[in-house]
Amino acid sequence: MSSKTDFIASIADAAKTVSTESGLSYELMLAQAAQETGWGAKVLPGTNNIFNIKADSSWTGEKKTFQVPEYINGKWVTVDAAFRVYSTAEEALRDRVKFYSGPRNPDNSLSYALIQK
Amino acid sequence: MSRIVALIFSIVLVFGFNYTKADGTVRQDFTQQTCLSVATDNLSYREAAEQVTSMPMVKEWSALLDSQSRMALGGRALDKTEFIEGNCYWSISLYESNPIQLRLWKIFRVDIRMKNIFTMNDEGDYVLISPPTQSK
Repeated sequence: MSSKTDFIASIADAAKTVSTESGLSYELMLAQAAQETGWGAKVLPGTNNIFNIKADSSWTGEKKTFQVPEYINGKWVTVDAAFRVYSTAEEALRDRVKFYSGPRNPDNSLSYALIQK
Repeated sequence: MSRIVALIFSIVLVFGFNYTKADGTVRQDFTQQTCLSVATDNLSYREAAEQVTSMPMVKEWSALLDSQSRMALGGRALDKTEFIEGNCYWSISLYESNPIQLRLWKIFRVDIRMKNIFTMNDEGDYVLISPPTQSK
């Protein structure tokens, strides 16, 4: 199997479970996860955070801080950024669905993610 | 004697084999182990990242985000070396950072020895972008 196939296989069951719970298309969840991680090539180590969601003040769960280079005023500088930690990819997918259907997306501006099965 | 052998082994393990070819260029052969060792070399990463960020397409992208008060971000925490068919690459990722998440823009692969740069397309395959392929 290729790494792309491996990545899809690793989260397919989780996507199907969350799809059954939410009514959202699991194919779309898989496509978005592939896009956000470069087909699984880039996942913050030890986080299962496949959508690179930051840990803002609303997040009460576990978080992990990473040093990241940020481009500010024409220069790359290193800053600290905290990200959510999930125990599984399924938890990450569930949190993503919660975001898309929650108050942070009131005008459905991210409605592409709400395509139904 | 055994100390000398161990020292030579360590040097080879960390730096790989280097030798000068007839045309004067230095060739370095990597193994999975030496490629992994490169991953701990911040200077090597910085050089690869600079190669990527100095490309016109990346400069244009980061300047565009900057002009719109959006932020470009490098994926140091996610980047690592990759050993593929005898070659060692740095995998360099760039993101747009918004208050909620990092959104992946592109992943680049920099050949440590040849300095060629590839980028991942939508299908997850890598295509050579620098040096640009010569058109006839």
